[in-house]
Amino acid sequence: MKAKYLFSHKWKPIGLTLFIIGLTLGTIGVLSSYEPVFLDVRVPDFFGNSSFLNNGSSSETGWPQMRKNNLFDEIALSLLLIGGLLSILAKEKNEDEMIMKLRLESLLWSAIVNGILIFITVWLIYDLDFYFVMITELFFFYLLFILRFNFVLMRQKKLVDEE
Amino acid sequence: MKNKVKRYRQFSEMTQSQLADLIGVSRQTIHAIEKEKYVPSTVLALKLSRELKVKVEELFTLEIKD
Repeated sequence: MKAKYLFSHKWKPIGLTLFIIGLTLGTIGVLSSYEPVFLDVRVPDFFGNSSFLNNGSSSETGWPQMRKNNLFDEIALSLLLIGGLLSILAKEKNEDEMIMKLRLESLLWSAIVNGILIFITVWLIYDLDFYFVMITELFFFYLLFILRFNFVLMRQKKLVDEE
Repeated sequence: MKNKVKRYRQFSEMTQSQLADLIGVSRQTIHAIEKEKYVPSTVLALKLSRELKVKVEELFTLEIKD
């Protein structure tokens, strides 16, 4: 069976490495509010004057507005996103239809568990804490998938090796 | 679905790895099929039947719950 939308296996270790680096940087950023000065740049803010997001309170005119921003969190989140996607979408060395089935089951499982966590978050966490947890949960889906899929593969391999 | 893959593989004096290589899947997949934990696709069932030189209906049989 041809596996559509999957990358070559060589991308898996690269994806996992990027994901772990992103996770580490993200955790450092969240726990210590670390923002190195050399990453302070001026960036275009396309929604800075939006009445929906900014209450129309910005005094600047023109579009897009330029604003100062530290790129540390953008880099960490990009590494998490790219690494997570590569880890999910990279083929296994011995990719076949059963591995594909295990991959799809793991995706479904991760979607269900993440959905339950989001539901709990909606009802139990409020204000800024809510937004912080929601951003974390965006990437928690990838983490859940990576852990579950690799655990199932490892268990399968162990069963065969024991015989 | 019940299957006799293990019986016919042993009859053909093949290991799981050899059969897996012949039909282009992993050894884990052959193991899971033999343990009836995984039901193969039609393509894979036909490949198994071809390599084990037995009709697919002989290799796989439906159960009442199917």
